[in-house]
Amino acid sequence: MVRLPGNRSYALLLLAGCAAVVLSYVLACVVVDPYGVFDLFAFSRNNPERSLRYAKTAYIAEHCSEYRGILFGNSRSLQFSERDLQTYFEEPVFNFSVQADALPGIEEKLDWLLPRCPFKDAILVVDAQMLLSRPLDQGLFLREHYLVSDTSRLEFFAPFLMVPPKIVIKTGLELLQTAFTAPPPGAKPELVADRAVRTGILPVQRACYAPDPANPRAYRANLAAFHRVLDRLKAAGRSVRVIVAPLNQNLLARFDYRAVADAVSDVVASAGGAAVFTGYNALALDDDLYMDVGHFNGATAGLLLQIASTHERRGPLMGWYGAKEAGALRDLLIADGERRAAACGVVAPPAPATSRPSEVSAQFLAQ
Amino acid sequence: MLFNSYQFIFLFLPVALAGFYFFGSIDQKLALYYLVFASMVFYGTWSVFYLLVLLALLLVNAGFGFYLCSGQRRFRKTARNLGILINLGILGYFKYAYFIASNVTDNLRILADFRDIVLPLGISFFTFQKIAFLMDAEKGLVGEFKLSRFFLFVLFFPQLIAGPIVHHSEMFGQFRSPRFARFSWNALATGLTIFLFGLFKKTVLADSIAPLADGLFAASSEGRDINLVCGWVGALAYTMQLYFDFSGYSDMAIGLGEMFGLRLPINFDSPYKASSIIDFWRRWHMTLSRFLRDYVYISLGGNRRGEPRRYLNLFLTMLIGGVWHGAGWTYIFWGALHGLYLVINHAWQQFAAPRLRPVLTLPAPLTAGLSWLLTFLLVVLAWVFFRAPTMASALAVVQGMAGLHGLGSLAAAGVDALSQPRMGMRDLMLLPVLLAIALGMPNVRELMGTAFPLLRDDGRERRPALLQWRPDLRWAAAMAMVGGWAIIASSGISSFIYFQF
Repeated sequence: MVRLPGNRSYALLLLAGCAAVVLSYVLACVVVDPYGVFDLFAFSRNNPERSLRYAKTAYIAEHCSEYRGILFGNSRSLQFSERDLQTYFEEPVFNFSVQADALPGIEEKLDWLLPRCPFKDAILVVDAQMLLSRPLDQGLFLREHYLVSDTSRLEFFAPFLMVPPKIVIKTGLELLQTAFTAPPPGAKPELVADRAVRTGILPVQRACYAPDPANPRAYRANLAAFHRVLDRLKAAGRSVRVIVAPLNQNLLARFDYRAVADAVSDVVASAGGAAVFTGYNALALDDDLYMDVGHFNGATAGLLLQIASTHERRGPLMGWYGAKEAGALRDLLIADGERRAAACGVVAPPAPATSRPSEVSAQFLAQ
Repeated sequence: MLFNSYQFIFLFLPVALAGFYFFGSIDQKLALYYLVFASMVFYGTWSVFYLLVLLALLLVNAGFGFYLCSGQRRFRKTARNLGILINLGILGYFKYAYFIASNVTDNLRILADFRDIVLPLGISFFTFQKIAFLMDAEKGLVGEFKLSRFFLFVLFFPQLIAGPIVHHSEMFGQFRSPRFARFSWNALATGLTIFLFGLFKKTVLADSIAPLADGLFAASSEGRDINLVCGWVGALAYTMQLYFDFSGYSDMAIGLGEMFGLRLPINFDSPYKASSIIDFWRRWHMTLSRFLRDYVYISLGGNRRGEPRRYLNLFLTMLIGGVWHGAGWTYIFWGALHGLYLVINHAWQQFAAPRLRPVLTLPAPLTAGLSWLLTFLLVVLAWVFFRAPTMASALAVVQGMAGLHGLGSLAAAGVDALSQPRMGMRDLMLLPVLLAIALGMPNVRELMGTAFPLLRDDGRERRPALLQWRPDLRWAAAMAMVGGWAIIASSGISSFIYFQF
C-alpha cells in the first residue's frame, strides 16, 4: 500500500477525491441525462432543467390512487402547493401543472388519465395568455411523456440521446448571454428574474397598455379544446372547478382587453362558473405578488386557492362568478380595460354593445 | 441549516473553518468570538426570532452561572432552582403546552393558541446542557465563569441542535487549552473522515430505508390492517433508519468538532449489538444516558434508598427520558416501556440469574445469542411506540407484528400494504444489508482506533478493528468514494429525526 507522507496529504487527497467523484457524477448527469428522462441519476431529479412533464407523469402513473383531485395548468399554477390544495379543498390533490402547458396538452393528459385514475375532482387553471395565445412549439423540453403522447419508447427517448451536447452548449451560451445583458430599458429589476425576459427573447415587459395583434384563430382552437376538456370530464362523471389565474399588469398589457373579456366570460359561461382573478384588479397591480412578470408567487397562490375553494367573491374580478354573470363580467372587464387604456393615452375603438358571451361559447351552450 | 445540505457543506463549513483558523492565528479569543458568531449564524438561518430566544435564555443562565461561580454563599440553592425552573418553564411552554392543553380541554380556541407554537430547534438538548451546568455550578464544580466560553459551550454549532449533549467539564478545558484554534492537519484528517462516515450513514443508508418505515406507519395511521411481514419489515426498517440517522448525525457533529480542534463525546457504540437492555443504554445516545444517570437518577436518590426505591427511580428516570423526547403518549409509553425493561433486567441480574446459573447450564454462545435476540426484539418493539403518531397506530403495528392480521408476504410488504408502489424487492433487500452493517461492522469509534482517543475512558474493552483507519492512499480513495456518494445523495434534502426533539 502506498504510504502517504502524513495527515496533510491524506486530507488533501480525500478532498480532491470527493470533488472528483462529485464532479464526474454531475458531468455525467448533465451530458447523459440533462432532462432526467432516463432517471439514471439522483442529481437530475433536482436539476431545474429536468422535464417536469416526464417526472410528473411518471409519478402520477404510479400514485394516482392516492389522489382524489387533479389540478391542470401551466407554470403559473406550479405555485399551488399540495399542502395548500389539501388545506383548502380538503382532499389530496395532485398538481399536474407543467411549464407552458396549453389546453390541447391538458386534453391529451386527460385522455390518458381518465381511464386509469379514479380521481373525482378536476381543477382547471387557465389564464388569458393560455386562452389567447398559440401553444408553444413542443421542443424536447416540453414533450409529453410517452405514456401521455402514446408514442413508442424509442420514438420518445431517441431524440434525447441525440441532443445533450447541444443542450449543454446552448445552456452555457444562454447563461453567458444573461450574465452580460442588461435588463430592457425601463424594466423593473425585480420583475426580470426570468432569463428569457432579461435577454429580450420574450419582450413581455410593457410599461403600459400596448396590445399585440389578437389571434382569433388561436383563441378559437383553445376554446374548442377547453370545451372538449369539459365534455370529457363531464362524460366521465368527474366534477370540474375552473380558476382563471391573474396576470401581472405588465403582462396583461400585451393583450387586447376585449379579447381578454371575451375569453374570460366564455370560460365562465362554458364551465358554469369559475373563480376569476384576471383583470386590472388588486392582484394584477401589485408587483410584489409576483416572482417575475409572468408568475405570481407562492403566497399569492395560497390566497387564490383560499378564495377559489369557497365560491366567494372578495371584490371585483376577485372570486367566484356564476354562468349567469358571464355577461356582466365581460362588461366589467371591458370597462376595466378601457380605463387602463385611457390612462395610457390609448384611444380604444368602440366596443360592441352586447353583454353576452362570445359567439364560440354561445354555440357550445346551445349544444 | 442541515449538515447534509449543500449550503452547509460547500459554503458555511469552509467559511466557518477558514475564519476560525485565520482568527486563531491572530488571537485565540478572536477565534472563540468568531466561532460563537458563526454558531449564531448557523442557528439564525433557521429562525432569527428563535435565535433571540436562545440568546435571551443564555443571558439568563449566564447570570445564574456567574452568581453561582462567584463564590457567593447565600441563596445558592434558590438561584440554582430558579434557573432550572426558568429553563424547564421555557421548554415546557414550547414543547408541552399544546400536549397538556389538548389533554385538559376541548376548547378549539384555546387549542388553536397553543397549536401554532413552533418548537425551537434543539431546545431539549441545550436545556439539559444548561441544567447540568447550573447544578454543577451550585456544587462548585465549574470553577471560573467566563461568559464567552459559556456561550461557545452552549452555542457551538456541531452539537447545538441534536447533541451530543456535552458536559461543561469536557469543553471548558478545551477552550482554555493552548492548542485551541491552532490548525492541525491531523484534526482535519480525522474530522473529515468521521464527518463523511456520518454523512454516508445519513444520506445513503438512513434516507434509503426511510420510505419503507414511513409506508408502514402511514398505513397504520390510516387504519389499515398490518400483516405480520409488513409489520416486521416496517418496524425493522425504522429501527435501522433511526440508528443510521441519529448516529450519522452524531458522527457528523463529532467530525465537525474534530475539524475545529474540539473533541465531542461519542454518542453511539454499536447499540444493536447490545446483549441486554442495560448494555443497550450504555451504547445508545450515550450522552443522554449519562445526563439522565447523573442529573435525574442520582437526584432522585439513585440506589441509596433501598432496592424498591432504586427500581422506582430507574423507572421514573426512563419515564422522564420518554417525556423529554416528545410531548405525546407514545413517547411516554416508550419511556415507561424502557423503564420496565431496565427494572426487569436489573432484577433478573440481581435475583434470578444467580439462582438459575447453577441449575441451567447452556453453552455460552447460545446464552449470548439468546440474550442479544431478546434485547434486540424488545428494542424494536419499543421503537414502534417511539415512531407511531398515535397509540392506536402503534397498537395496530404491534398487532400486525403479532400476526393478528395474517401472515402477508414480502411482495405485499413491498407493493401494497406499505402504500409505497415503488418499493420493490431491491428496496427490501436493503434491510438485511443495513442489519449486517449495524450488527457485523465495526463502528466509527472502532474504525478510527487510536487516531480518535475518547474524552473519557469508559472502561469498555477496545476491540481491534479489522479495518483500522490510517491516513494512507487506500483509505483516502475509499473515503473519497464514500464521501462523494454521500454528497451526491445529499441532493434530496431530508431532515434529521432527532431535530424534532
